[in-house]
Amino acid sequence: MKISNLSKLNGLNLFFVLFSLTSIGFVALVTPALLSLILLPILAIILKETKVANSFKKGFEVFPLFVFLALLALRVDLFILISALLVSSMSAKFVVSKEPSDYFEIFIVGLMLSLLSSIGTISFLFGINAILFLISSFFFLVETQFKEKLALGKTIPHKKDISIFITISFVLTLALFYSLPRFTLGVVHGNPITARATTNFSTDVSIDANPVSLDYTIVMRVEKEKGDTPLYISGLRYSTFLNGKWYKSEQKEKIYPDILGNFLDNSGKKATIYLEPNNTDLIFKVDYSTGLFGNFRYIYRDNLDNLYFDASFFKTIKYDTFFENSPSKTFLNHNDLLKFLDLRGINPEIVNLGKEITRGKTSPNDKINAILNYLRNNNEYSLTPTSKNIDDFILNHKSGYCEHFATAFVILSRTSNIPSRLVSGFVTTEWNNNLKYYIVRAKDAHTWAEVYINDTWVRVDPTPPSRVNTSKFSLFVDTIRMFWYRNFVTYGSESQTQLFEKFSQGFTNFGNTTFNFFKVLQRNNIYILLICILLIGIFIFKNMETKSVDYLARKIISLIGNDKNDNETILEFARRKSKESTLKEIIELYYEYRYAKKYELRSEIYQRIKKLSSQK
Amino acid sequence: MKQLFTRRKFPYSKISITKQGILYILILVIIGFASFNSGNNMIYLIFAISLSIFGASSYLAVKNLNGIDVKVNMPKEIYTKKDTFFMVAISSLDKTKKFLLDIELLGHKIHFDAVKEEEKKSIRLNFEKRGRYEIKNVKVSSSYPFGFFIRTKEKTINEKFYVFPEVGEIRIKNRASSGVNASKESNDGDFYSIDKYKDGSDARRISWKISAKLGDLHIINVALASEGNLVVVFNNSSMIYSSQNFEVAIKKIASLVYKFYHEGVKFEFISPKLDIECINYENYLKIMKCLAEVKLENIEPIKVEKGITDEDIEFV
Repeated sequence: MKISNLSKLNGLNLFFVLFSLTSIGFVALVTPALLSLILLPILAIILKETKVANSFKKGFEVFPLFVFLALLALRVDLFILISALLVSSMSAKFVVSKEPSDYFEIFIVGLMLSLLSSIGTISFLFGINAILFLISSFFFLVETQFKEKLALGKTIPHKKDISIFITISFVLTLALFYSLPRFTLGVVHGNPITARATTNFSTDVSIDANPVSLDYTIVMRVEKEKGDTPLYISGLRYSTFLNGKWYKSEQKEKIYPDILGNFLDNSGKKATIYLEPNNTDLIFKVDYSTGLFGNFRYIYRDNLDNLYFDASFFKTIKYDTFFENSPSKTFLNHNDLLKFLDLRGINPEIVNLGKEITRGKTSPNDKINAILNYLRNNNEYSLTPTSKNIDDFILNHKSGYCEHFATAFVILSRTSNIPSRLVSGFVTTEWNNNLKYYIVRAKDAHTWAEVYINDTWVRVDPTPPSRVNTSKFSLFVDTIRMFWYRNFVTYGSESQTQLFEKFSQGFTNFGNTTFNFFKVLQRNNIYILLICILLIGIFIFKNMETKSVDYLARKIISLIGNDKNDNETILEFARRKSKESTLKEIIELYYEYRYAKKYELRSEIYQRIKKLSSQK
Repeated sequence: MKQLFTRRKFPYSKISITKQGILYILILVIIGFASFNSGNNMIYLIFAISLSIFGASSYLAVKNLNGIDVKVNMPKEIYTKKDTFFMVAISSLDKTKKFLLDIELLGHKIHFDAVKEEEKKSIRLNFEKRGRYEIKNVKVSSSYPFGFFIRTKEKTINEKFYVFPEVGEIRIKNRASSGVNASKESNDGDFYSIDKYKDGSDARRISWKISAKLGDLHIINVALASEGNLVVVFNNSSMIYSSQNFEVAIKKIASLVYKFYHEGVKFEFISPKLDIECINYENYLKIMKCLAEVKLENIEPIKVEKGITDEDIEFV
């Protein structure tokens, strides 16, 4: 289609489609199938153009109700029901709309759709769609104000005005977004209606022959400085292994934050975790964890120091974990120690094998190394294990993955009288250098062991994670996503305080710089004084030239000619030069400005002089 | 120095909020409350966008009202209680498109949806009173871009015009009518002068030959034997008129002048402020302007023998 044809298009229809598309785009981020609702606005345009609306006005008014009842009868999802109701009312309203106030109601419905989607999505596409929504709202609202049906070419504002408006709106949006007061930490649990778990983290650790596949879905992002070793993020610790399965503790106690919102001991380094919904209430922590900071009323802790959220969440949430590079001392009493030496239900052959492996070793470290060597030398790592159970893995040397290796290690350690436990979580080495954070994917789910030596729990990983390279494109997309999460989704009162502190620091620095600058000036005051006098002189001279009333008079006289007599007025001069007809108006305006002191006319007179000068 | 630091007054334009604007503000309050209450940054974002649309619209609104020139063209003859059309021309001085402009002129509004360089529209007016009128300003208002606010700005135009007295169908009583028929111009008299054809001139007197030679339409005035006999006398003395009678007298005289001029009758108009022989359009306008702004005065009335006064005229 040629550009000249485009200018003849009906702008109202075009911008209604674009506005509807961006409005529907919001809800489609939650349920992609809703994108098909765009057919309704298109149908509305066709009906409006065919003038059917005049005959069936009442019909269109009850159309949304009909849609609502029909979908209610079909028992569709509540979110889809409300979205369809809003889009149908938007379309029906467009068919019967005539006045700007009618179209304004359509805009309000579009706003409602955007609000509706906000409970179900935090995707960065929401931000992109929001920008498109802003632009389409501008064009749609402008187009609805015209009383006559004009072609697009006539109603579209000047390109420069459009770009300035959008720039101002964009800057204003960002300024408002960051400065509007926040009363929370930007953590929203989301709504179960639109619950979409990114991935499932299984808390069920069973030793069997079920294969696992590599899932590249990102489950969390961790902001911390880059380390030389893989990053271990623990989720759940287990002590009891019975009938081929690890059991987690069911005894939980509530932990409340201190006055600053900190849970437990917040000493050590900070790592910020952006955790995707994973259908568990587990709190993942960077090892060796000491404490936690987040927007939670309370958390739960079990007797293995596993932490749980106060409620389920359905959106990405952000919290800080504090950690040390080396484990801290933990004193266990005799009963506790027995829990980590539990060998109930373990095949006696395995117990004997464990003793055999560590025979002659006296120190715990030697024993651990012996067990590790044994497993690595006798068992093969495979995502499609051949081991049907732990006996099969240890005694028959069948293949297995991390869960098999870690379980075998814990059992063999316990047979050698080393208290040990199983830990499940994630381990990653994937680093995003653009925004400096670790990426943790579902495939990074891992299981390892911890042994209790010298009053500390030390991590032992019998199966180091395999490294898989990811594409640069996926890294790029995740950079955008992380930027969005960091700066928009999880922006809260804490981030706002930090931002204001940065500003305040900036002002302080500016103040200091200015103060130093003045000190320099003070030392060279004579030169500075001379420069100032010179600049002020130039400024006054320039102003007197352009701002003085005579400036306009001189400009008008120059339009008439250059032989004005001293005893004649400007009007008389114009009359003498036969230019009264063209310049009378501007001269009269000048008189109003000069003698009636209507100084607001200055810019208008100036514009007219410019216009006449250009014609000349 | 005073002028050096003079700044233009603020606010430069008046702002009023529309129903749509009030509704939008209410919706903003609700969205704002939802965002503060939920802490949901997506709602915060929508709230920020909605607010910024509101705020940034001021830029377009202010720019839309800048650089506008309004001109009003009115006809030369405007009569009381008779419809007349004023032409309103609006142009963009900065050559950018201007939208949704409402021009308020003498209590009437004219709407322009879009003005690219210049747009013209006529407005029908009807004046109740004769006199000299002056339009100092016209109000230019616009609800652009979103109809949330109406901004109004005054433009100085300083246009002056006269509304002539009401004219009606009249008849001259017998006493004076004998001379009238003799004074009617005809195409049979002696050549007197050539004038350019103007609005209101008798089309029957157009000389097509002369017009063809000179390029413009011209009329021939012919001199009659009885010329100079007809005198219309108008007094504005409070000694002979009450204020009510005075308006009736003006209406009668104006109707007579109108009738004479349009029928091509030459006459002399005598009043305390104007004594003129009506031989062309300019003279006619002068007489009508005199009648438009004349007021009762405490002066001695003029007496002219055989002069036609309002007493010699009656409405049909």
